[in-house]
Amino acid sequence: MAAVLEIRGLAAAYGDLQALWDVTFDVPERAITTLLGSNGAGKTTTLRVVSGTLPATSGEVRIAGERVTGRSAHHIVDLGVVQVPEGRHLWPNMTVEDNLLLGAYSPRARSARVATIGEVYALFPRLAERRRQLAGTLSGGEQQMAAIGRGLMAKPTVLMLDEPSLGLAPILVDEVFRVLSEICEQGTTVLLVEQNAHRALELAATATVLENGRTVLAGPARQIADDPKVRSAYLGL
Amino acid sequence: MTAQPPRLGLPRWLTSIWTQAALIVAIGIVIALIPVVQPRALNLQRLAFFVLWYAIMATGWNIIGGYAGQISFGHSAFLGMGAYVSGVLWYTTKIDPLLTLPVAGLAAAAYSFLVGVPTLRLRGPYFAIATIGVGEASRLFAVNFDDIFGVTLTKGVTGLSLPNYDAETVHYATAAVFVLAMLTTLWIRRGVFGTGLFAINMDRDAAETVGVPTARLQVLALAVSAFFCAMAGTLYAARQQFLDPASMFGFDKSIALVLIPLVGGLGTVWGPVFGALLYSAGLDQIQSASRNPYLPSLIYGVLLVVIVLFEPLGIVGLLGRLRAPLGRLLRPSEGAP
Repeated sequence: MAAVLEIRGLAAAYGDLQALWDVTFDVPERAITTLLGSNGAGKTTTLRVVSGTLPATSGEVRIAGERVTGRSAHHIVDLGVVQVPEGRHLWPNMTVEDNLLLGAYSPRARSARVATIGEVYALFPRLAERRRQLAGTLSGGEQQMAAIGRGLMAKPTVLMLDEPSLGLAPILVDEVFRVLSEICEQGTTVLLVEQNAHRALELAATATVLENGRTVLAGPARQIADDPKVRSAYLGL
Repeated sequence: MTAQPPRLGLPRWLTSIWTQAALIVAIGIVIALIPVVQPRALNLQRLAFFVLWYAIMATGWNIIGGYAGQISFGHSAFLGMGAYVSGVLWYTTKIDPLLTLPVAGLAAAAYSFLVGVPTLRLRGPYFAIATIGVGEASRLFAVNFDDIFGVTLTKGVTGLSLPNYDAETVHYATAAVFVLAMLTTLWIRRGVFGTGLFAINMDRDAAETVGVPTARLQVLALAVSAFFCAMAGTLYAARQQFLDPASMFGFDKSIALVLIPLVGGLGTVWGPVFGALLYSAGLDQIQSASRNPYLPSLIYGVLLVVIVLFEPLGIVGLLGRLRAPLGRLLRPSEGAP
């Protein structure tokens, strides 16, 4: 499998505070990759650097072989790498449908937005029912679906999700994971940051473990799940 | 795209972009006809000028302040820039000031680029604070660049006295600039540009994740905003024929440009017009009736507090509220218990 996203020796900082030191991994095409690690390991920071909202201090990110380090966020979206941010960040005073339509802001996605919104409604029938409702009035699970749907509206080749199961009831976590595998089957590469390591390793094909801003393990998900260190630190086994 | 803040529930034919554009042009024509129909009503012409003048600037301010949500307390910088670009050109080279309208607009847009690229990175109150500095620094420039190598520039605090100019011509030009500003703000509001600005306004991080070029759109919005404020400056120079830094770059002008859209309806197309009407026409009347120079500011301040507390969409929001009971009066059978 070719790597659609290559991350090499990435370092990044928030002002004087260095958060990433050396993050290296590949995201293979048309598969689910999960990024694991404890709080503060640098998972969200890695996504922010990849999506262009935080500059890298060294290292590089390649999308389909093209070096994109230093490009602005909207360029990255144009190249098909789209982030669903942690905490959803919907526009609460806009309807669900308007939130989704705004997801297709980039010129590449805009012309196809009527067709894409149909696909999103097919994936999340719940959103179709609530299309005229203000996004702020949705339940937590519905908001997460709307956030994922908005990400899909940008017609991503790689969809990056930051803690999509955070704060959701177990039944909704099932729903989110079901949708992620469906999205992947339809041909979109998924990069998933999750605190629920169990579920993430079940779902993903490959996994990367970060510790203190460094890659400490990377490989097929099954192999990572069997690693004794991972079993004790993240799976509680 | 249709993404927009809460709608007022007006009938669709009225809110269609073509009806609105036609309405703008019609209002422009009616106001332009004032000197033709009432050639002796000089007071009315003066009033009309100042209503349009404030409406043009507030409409410009609203594009960055209301649409993008970046509140500027320094827009007098662009007003003064436009006034002095046209004024100095007129004074030194005798170029007709109305011909330099686009020059003044573009000069201020370029200036806005210079100040906008660094300051628009700032979020929340920090941008607003930075703009106070921009406005004040611009005023000090105007005070101190009285001449360069013997060429007259601003003449500093003494002010720049300009030749006479036909007020009627300025009146027509003002109506035309007003129509241009309103059509521009309508077009931005209804298009992809405005949708992007509202996305930034509501959640800049979310806007970035969907691919809105946030930095570019904000800089562009500030430039359009500066462009119209500067053209208002040129119109003022041509009509009043006297410019001084304290009034053109005055902090009171910057404040007025925040208050007018806020009272009229922040982020709406017509809000700045209603606000300007109330600000310059209403308060002008109160001032001449009461002979107390501070009364209008007091009334406007109280109005502002009431509006911020009860009706965030200002006069536009109030009109929207009135519509429901009016509609019930007109169609009593509908919605009756």
